[in-house]
Amino acid sequence: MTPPADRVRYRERTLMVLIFAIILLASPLLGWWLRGSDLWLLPYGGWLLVIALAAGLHYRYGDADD
Amino acid sequence: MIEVEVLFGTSLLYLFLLFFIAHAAESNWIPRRLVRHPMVYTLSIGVYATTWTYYGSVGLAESDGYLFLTIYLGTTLAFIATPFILSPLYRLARDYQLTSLADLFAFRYRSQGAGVLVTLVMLMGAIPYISLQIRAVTESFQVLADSNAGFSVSLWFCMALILFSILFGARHISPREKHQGLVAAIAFESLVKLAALLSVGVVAVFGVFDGPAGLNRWLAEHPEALENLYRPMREGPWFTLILLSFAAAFLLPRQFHMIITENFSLRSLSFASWAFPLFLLLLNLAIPPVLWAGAKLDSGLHPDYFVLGVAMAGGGDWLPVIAFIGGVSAASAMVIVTTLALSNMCLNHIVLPASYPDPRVNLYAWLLWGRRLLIALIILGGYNFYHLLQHHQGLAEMGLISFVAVAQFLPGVFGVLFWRRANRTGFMLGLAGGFSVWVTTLLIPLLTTRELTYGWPPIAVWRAQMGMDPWEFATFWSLAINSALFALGATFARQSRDETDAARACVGEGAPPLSGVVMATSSRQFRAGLAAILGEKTATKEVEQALRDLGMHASEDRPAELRRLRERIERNLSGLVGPQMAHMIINQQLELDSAAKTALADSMRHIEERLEESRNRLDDLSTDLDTLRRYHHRILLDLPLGVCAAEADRRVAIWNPALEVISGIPSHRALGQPLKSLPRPWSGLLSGFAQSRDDHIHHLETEIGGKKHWFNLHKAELLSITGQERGGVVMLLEDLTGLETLEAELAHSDRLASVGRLAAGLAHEIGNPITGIDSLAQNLRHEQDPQLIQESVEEILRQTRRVSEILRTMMNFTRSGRNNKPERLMLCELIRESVDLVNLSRKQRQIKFSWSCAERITLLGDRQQLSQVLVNLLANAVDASPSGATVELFVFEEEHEVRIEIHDHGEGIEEDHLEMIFEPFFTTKGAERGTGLGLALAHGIVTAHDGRIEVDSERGIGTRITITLPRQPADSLPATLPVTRNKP
Repeated sequence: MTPPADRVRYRERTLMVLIFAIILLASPLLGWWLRGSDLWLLPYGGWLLVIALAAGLHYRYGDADD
Repeated sequence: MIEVEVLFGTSLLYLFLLFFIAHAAESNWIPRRLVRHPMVYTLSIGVYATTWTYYGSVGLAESDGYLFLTIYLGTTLAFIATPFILSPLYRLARDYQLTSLADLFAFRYRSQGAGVLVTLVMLMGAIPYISLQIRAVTESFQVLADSNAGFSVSLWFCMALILFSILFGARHISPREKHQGLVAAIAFESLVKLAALLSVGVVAVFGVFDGPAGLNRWLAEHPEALENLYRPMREGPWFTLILLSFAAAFLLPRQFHMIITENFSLRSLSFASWAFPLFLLLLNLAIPPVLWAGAKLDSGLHPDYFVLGVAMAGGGDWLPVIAFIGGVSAASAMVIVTTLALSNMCLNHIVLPASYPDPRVNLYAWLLWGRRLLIALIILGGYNFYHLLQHHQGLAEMGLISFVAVAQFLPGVFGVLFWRRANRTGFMLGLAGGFSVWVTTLLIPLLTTRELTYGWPPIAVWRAQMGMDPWEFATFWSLAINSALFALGATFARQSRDETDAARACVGEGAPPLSGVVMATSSRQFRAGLAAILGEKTATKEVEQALRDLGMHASEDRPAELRRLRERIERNLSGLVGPQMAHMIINQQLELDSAAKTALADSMRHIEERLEESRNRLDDLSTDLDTLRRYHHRILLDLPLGVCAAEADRRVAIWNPALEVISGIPSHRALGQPLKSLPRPWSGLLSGFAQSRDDHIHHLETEIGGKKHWFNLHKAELLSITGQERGGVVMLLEDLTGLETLEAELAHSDRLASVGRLAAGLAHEIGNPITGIDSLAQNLRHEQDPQLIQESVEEILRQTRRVSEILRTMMNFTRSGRNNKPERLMLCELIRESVDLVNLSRKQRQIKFSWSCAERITLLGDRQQLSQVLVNLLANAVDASPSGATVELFVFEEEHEVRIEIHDHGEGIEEDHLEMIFEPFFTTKGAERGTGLGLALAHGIVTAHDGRIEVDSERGIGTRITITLPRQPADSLPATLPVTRNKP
């Protein structure tokens, strides 16, 4: 059985990543970090960063939700 | 152009391949662990990417720039929120056998009406989306084949989809069974569309632009291309579209079906929380290059079909076919899964309540064929809608209409997962209100106007006044009205008892027990009761299934167990006919005798269940605490210090391995023993320290096995759990013996180094008497006068004594070893010896010594160490003094102290160096003249003698070193003193 502490940590860390993802991808800050960019792949970079964080959560706490 | 026969033939082959994959998975030709692998599950969720993604994203990118990414960013957010949204939904669906969103809402709000309304909204929202897929496949066929065979293509496509959906989506009698063949086929389709789209992207970059450098050159020449992508991010409905795609990620019928209904484990869901967004990212990577390649080619195609245009321009004969198959994949997966989910909803929430079959009919077969018929009807409905449309809207616009429709379920889902007070009145009012706004603002304009952006005239005027985008307008007003009515309903209407129980179950609190006992008193009576509605065969199967699930024997007749059986049958039936219908059947056919006096027993069972839950939670906590306890115990055991813990009765509780090494006593001999019973010297040492008022003892010297050892001791009193009484003591032993030995060796090395520096003077000092003796001895051979002979002999003896004295002083100074017992010392004698030693080198440089000391002054200390201090300090003074100068040494007596001052008249010490001169290895003399240890050792020795050493210096005037040592009255000194002393 997964210790409850891990489950709580999983939810807390997920919430932090979710808030970060919202700030990065769905807030006015998006316009700021993409301003004046001449790199067409830049939005994909931010997206990939969020995915990497989510993958980290899965590999650290993936079993905690069972 | 591609031949029509080629496209037909390839499409047919592809669909056969899908049949084969699905059949292989169902027949276990593909290993089950592979089919159930989280990666396959993740790819199957790729059903989200339809022809809208495959073709329409390029069109959306052309008109709205990077807004096309919002459709996937919102989904990414929904999947990151898996522990808060998707996992709880999965648990609910698994525990209560809920197979669709309509089941979920009907279960939570305990309303058949809710199920009906949800099904209707889903149906109306999905039909335009299905027609979009038919249209995309038909138009892509026309683009490639340059044919006008739109009617026959769309019809054949629909027929093939009906066949596939029936064969592999409606194979099982009950929708509660998993369709692993379907999952495998849909996952394969996701792979195909990903590979096809990436291939077109590669052709766009390398075929059309001659590589990334060519693409960058083109972008530099056409800066407006990049600007057109970025500008809409600042001006368009970015956040609205993210919200819509967040909702669509799990509320679209096909998404709920693949994420929840066909899922095997929470672990797969966790894997998909990052892998599915990654799949979407890869899928969208090709969109901008394809858009720009299509613009460069200027083929005259609508941007929605740039994927095909680029494939035809740069991919030879094969790539257009692959690109077409990718589109067929995207469309077929969406239509198949959506119709499966919708057919299930329609059957359970519309058809069954409206016309329940006669019990003599085989219910399973009736449900199966009913579902198959519904599949055909829904696909044909999409086909008709496709013909009804005027085809002026882009693919993305049609898709977004469905997204706004399913977003109307967001308040309801919030109520399911988080708000216990939400009720059916609020849910249905809100859904009806939001759906009405959707019909008015989006569906009617879709059917009646050429451009959605103009909309229905009165609404369009209002929207224009508000300055809102059509999607923003429709989303805002539909959700605002929906949420407001939802909240108002929850505030002013009351929940039914059933609803309250379901709400508790949904937020994870577990439903309370129903009062009363089942009137049927055996499983046989259960069968008989259910047979009246389900039919004999179905009732028997369902009862047997429930008995198997619970591990219960058919002869079970205990009321409490029969209650469990009743609940299990209801859950299983919920997967077959929907939760509300199952609830009705069970309540009607397996009635409860609410008058039975079982309230106490029920409550007891409920309390027992809750206690069991609590016990499980406590077990978890206990495991955590035990892990923590072991961790702390391990720290104590692994400390490189000796640790001894004693209980209140002074018996040893902890004796760690480091203490075993230090003491030579194994832990099994020490544990449980009173401290006083330990072997000597540990009994006295530890029990004495445990009782001592001091919490720290520094530099305690003791003898173990004939050898001296030094320890620092520390202890802490432990309080009892109540915090009122002493609970024991924990003691730490730091073994300093190694450090002491090292210090002694260092001091000895320093003395040898001093001797080295004095060697020239020493040779000179010994050489002079030897030369004198030599002369006297030669004269004696010829001398006859007895008096002169006597005088010569006396002189020889005097010179010999002088040499012996020098050598004795040297030997005393340089001998190794330390920790001589402190002894009473005559200070003047010590100073004289030290001055003599330093004099050995002074003469070469003509330095004079001036010193004075009262003969009666005595000290207590180590002669060798104090001599080393004086030699080091005097040697430094000599080194600092210019030739011909005088080094002065004064001794001052005070009441309890003796102060020794050494003055030189050298250059003085720089102010910056004053703070560092007592640090080891700091020297201003250079490596050949000093080790940098002299003053550090002097400081250590003086401090160990409870004294202090200070320095004053002024540049150009000189330096004064002051040593202050405790004075010992001559008559108070014992011959030898205890060995214990304090040292910081």
